Parts: sequence; structure tokens; C-alpha cells
Amino acid sequence: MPPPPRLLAVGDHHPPPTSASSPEHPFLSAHLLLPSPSPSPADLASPHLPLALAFSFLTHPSPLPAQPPRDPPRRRRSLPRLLLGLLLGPPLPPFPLLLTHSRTRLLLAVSELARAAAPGFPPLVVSLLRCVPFHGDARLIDLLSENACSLADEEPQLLVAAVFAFLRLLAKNRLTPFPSIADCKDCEECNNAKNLEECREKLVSFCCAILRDHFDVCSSLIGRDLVRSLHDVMLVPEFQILWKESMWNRAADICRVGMPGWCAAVAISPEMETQLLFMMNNVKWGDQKRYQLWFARKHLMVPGGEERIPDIIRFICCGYHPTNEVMQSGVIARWAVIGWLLTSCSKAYVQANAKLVLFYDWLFFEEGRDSVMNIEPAILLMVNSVSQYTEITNMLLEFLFLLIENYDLRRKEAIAQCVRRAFGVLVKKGVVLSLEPLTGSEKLSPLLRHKLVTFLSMSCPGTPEEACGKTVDEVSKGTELKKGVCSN
Amino acid sequence: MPNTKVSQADTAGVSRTVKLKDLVPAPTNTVNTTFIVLDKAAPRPPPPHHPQAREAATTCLALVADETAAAHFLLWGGECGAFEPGDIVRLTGGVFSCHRGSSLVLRAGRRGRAEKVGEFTMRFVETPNVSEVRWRTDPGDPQGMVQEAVLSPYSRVFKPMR
Repeated sequence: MPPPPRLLAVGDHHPPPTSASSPEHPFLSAHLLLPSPSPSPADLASPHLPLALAFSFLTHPSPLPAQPPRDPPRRRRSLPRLLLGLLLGPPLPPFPLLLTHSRTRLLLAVSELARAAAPGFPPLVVSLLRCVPFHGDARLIDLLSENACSLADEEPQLLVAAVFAFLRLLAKNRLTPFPSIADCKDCEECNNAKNLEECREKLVSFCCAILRDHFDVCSSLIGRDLVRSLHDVMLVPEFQILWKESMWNRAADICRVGMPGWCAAVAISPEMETQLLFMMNNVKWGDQKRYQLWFARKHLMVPGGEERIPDIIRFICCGYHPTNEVMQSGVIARWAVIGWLLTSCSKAYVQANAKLVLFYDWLFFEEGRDSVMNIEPAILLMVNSVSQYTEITNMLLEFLFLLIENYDLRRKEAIAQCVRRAFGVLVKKGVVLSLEPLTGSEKLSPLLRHKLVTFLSMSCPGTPEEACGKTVDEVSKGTELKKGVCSN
Repeated sequence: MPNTKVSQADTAGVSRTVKLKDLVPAPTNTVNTTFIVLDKAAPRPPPPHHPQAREAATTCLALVADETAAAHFLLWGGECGAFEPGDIVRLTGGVFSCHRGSSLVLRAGRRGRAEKVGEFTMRFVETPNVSEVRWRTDPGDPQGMVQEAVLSPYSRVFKPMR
């Protein structure tokens, strides 16, 4: 009897699939109990059936049978049932561990589930979107394009998540070519699988089409980071046209909406999220060095890795707000993790973008609408670095003033008011007792200190709405920002 | 006959999984534990002209730890390339004893097995390091060992990173 097929690409020094500690185990044991892909009537009642069917689908060697002519509805009814285990079973093994063949099959399965609008499939698609780029990921764009109309009505959040994930991917250096697959050479399906890198044009037209046709949903669900992401791809002519035609006069309104945490999480992989959360929930001060080194080796020191630092910082600011209990438990704070990430940037444009995302919510801050937790890491990083790592505080303050002056020339005063308000709220809410550690620091650059004192002493004319809600031409500033802030 | 051993251990009430701080040198393959790999030294080629084929493998010393203590773990042959810093490893049937006469190391040995069961998400301490302890025979129990002296609170091979 041949050995059962495998789901995971793991070597000798991993638990065998028969061991309960293998993530493959629940699937394989269900398969061993119910090995037939065509279950008998008696098997239908078995609790193992969904997993057994999912296993058999993911490990099936050949492509799906050709679609029966003139009878598509029947297939649509039967396939999702076969794949129910993917939705109902225990979580799938981590995607990076899956064999290339199983990944290809999983993508095929997701296409079928999406086509049948099976309940519960959006989280599966989002989890795959968070893993791009990977071999064969072009199927995601196909399935989203094919189902865009129905998704816009029924699953707008999924569609918006896809637009955001693809915009981030299109940003500089994230779309890198893949080495050829090693573990599935014989399978036609895997060999023919396309990568998103090969269909950059399709990605661009998908994002433009969705943004054009579903602008309100995209802008209200992504918020101000939609503007930021578009600035990052402004050199692509299609996005320039889109910006001029339908966005430039609405940018100020979009920037009033903060990015929700789930959206921030879309731009980082589930594995990154797990490791960052572990650091910020479990690792005590002083013990973080090794974890940081492991994280950097795995996620940052790889092609396109450093370019993800701004998205990681954005996730820390908007996607994870620790409880008071966690903050008082002696674990490493968010601002310290961000400080480490900032000093890990070797490329100037990455560091500029990293500082921009750290202050992004400051530029549009409105009390009551924006969370103080989004702006908390930047102030704590500046205040806590001032005595020992003054160069960090100097660098951040200097950049903040640069943003106020240059981010959007026509809304300069509105942005200054928002930043002033952000400083005020941080003191009012007790995040810092006062701004004296900055304004009274002997170590801080005298020029910056003077600038800060003058800036804070200016009065706040007008209400927040008046100050931040003005609709102005932002298109030229978007390009200027790229030149001024994100050069190199 | 590993099964017999297991049942003996169970009837004697001995916990089958130990924390690193409870490791005591013994010549038996009975250590079951889980740790995270903190650091790895450069691999060492096998000693030339070694009479035993099994001994003729590349080795690599690693610093490992759990939430109670750290230890030196000797990676053997294929294990050298299979585990990286940050990997969570489960050791079954391992040995904690002096290797080649001097250093006290944990290793899988001939009958043990080391498996990667996770990554990153485990807390650890770097001191005490049970490989940096000198042991002597327990005067009250010739079969047992007791700690005689702590040679170093931290590993002297891998410097702590703080």
C-alpha cells in the first residue's frame, strides 16, 4: 500500500503527520478513517467527513475534472460540500508550510468556494491575501476579478481588503520574481500557475476599476491610508489618471477617516502578526533582543522585507491597542518595538515612509473621531528617547515639522492645528504628564526645541471641523510629498 | 524496549516531561523536554579517522532555553542544518551527560529524537545555564548527582544578548 499523500513541506526533523503535534494530523487521521473521495451513505454522518474530503481535495494529484457542459449549477452545489472541511475544520496548517501542490489546490478550492459564494469563504481569501506574494498567487486576482460584482454587494470588506493588499504589493520592491518551484515539478497545474508579479497590469487595472466603481466603500473602509497607498504608487500612469479624475478633490475628506485595525492587519502576514503580538504581550523589557533578531532574519532581511517596515509600524499603531493590564505587566512597549524598526531601516526612503506612517494619524487628528492609541507610540518614543537616544527624538521632531510644512501645502494650517491638538490630547489623557521632557530638554537640538515651543504656544483658531474638513487640491502635493519626503 | 521503560517511569511517578532547570546528568536516554534554540555555533567537522562511523558526524553546539533555565544542546549530523535560532524544538528520549569527557550537553543521542514543533512564540531565560554547573555524586545516594558549583550563571560559549 503506498504511503498516504502529504500536505506539508517538512523535513525529517518535524513531527511526522501521524503525530498529534503535526498540524497535518487532524486531516490525515480523518483521511485514514475515510480514505475514499466518494463517501458511502454510511460515511456521510461521520464527523470526520469534511476533513477527509478536504484532505483528499488538497492532495489530489490531477486537475479538477472538466466542468460538465450545460450543467454548471450542479457542480456549484456539489463542490463546496466537498470543501466544507476547509471552512469548518481546524485551522489549516500555516500556509508557508504547505507543499506547492497543496497550495495550488487550495487556491483552486477557494476559487470554487467563491464562485459558489459559500458562507465563510471571505476569511480564507483574506488569509491568502495576507500571504502574497507567493507562487501561484495570480489565481487570487482572477477569482476576485471574476466575482467583483457579487462581492461588492455581499462582501464589500473582502473586496476592499484585496484592493488595499494589492496597492501595498504594488508599492516599490514588494513584487519580486519567484524562484522556480522545487517540490512539484511533474504537476501541470503547479507549473502553469501564474504569479502576481507577471500580471502587474491586471493588478493595476483591478485596483483602478474597484476604486472607480466602488469609491465610497473603499474610502470609508480603508480611510486615510488609501491616500497614503496611492501616493506610494503615483508613478504608475493609471493611478495618476484615477487620482486626477476622481480622488484629488476628495482626499481631504478621506483623510478624516482613520484606518481600522483589520485593514492594517491585511498588509502584514499572519506569521508577522503572531510574532509581533507575542513580543508585545509576553516578552519582558530587556529580553527582546533575540526575538528582534529572529524577526528581522525571517521577515526583514529578505528581498522586499525592509519595504514592509512601514506596514508593520502602521499595524502596531492602528492594529494593536494593548490593555492597561498588558501595558503595566513589564512587557516591551509598542513605542520600543517601533524604535527598533525605525533603526532597522537602511534605505532612506523606507525610513521616511516609516516616519510618515508613525505620524500619519497626527496630521489629521480629531478628538472623538481618532483614537489616542494611534498617536501614543510616537510621543512615547520621542519622550522616552530624549535622554539616552536623543538623535531619535531629534530625527522624529524634525520630520514632524517637515510634514507639517510640506505634506500638503494648501492645508498646512489645518494639519498644524491637528498636530497641535494631538499634542494637547496626549497630555490631557495622561499619556505623558507634560511636554516638558521635550520643551525643557537640554539635549534636544536648540533649534527644534525653540520651534516646538513656538509651535505649541500658537493658538488654535477655528473648530476641528473647520480646520480639517476643507476640500482642497491635493494632487500636486501628493507628488510633491513623494519628491520631498520619500526621496532616494 | 522503550515501552517497558515508559511504564516503569510512569509507575514510579516520574514526570515524563522535564523543565531544563530540573535536568540532572545521567547516562540514560530519558529526557523529554521542549525548548527554544537561542543561538548556534559554527558546525564542527567530524574528528578525522574516528573508528566508529556514528561518531563521524558534523556537530554543532547550540544554546537552548525554556522559561526555567538554559542549556547547551549538541546538534548532530542532519540536525545541524535542520534547526535555526528561534525554532521551538521538542526532544524525546534525549541524554544530558558529559560529551567526549568534558562539556555537559543535552543531545538526542542514538535513540532520541529532536523535532521542530514551532517558532518564536516561547518565553525563555538565559540563566541559570545547567551546562555551566559542576556536579558530583550525591553522598547520600550513589546513584544520584548533586550540584557542586555554578561555574558561570550564563553560558561562557554564547554571550548573553541584552
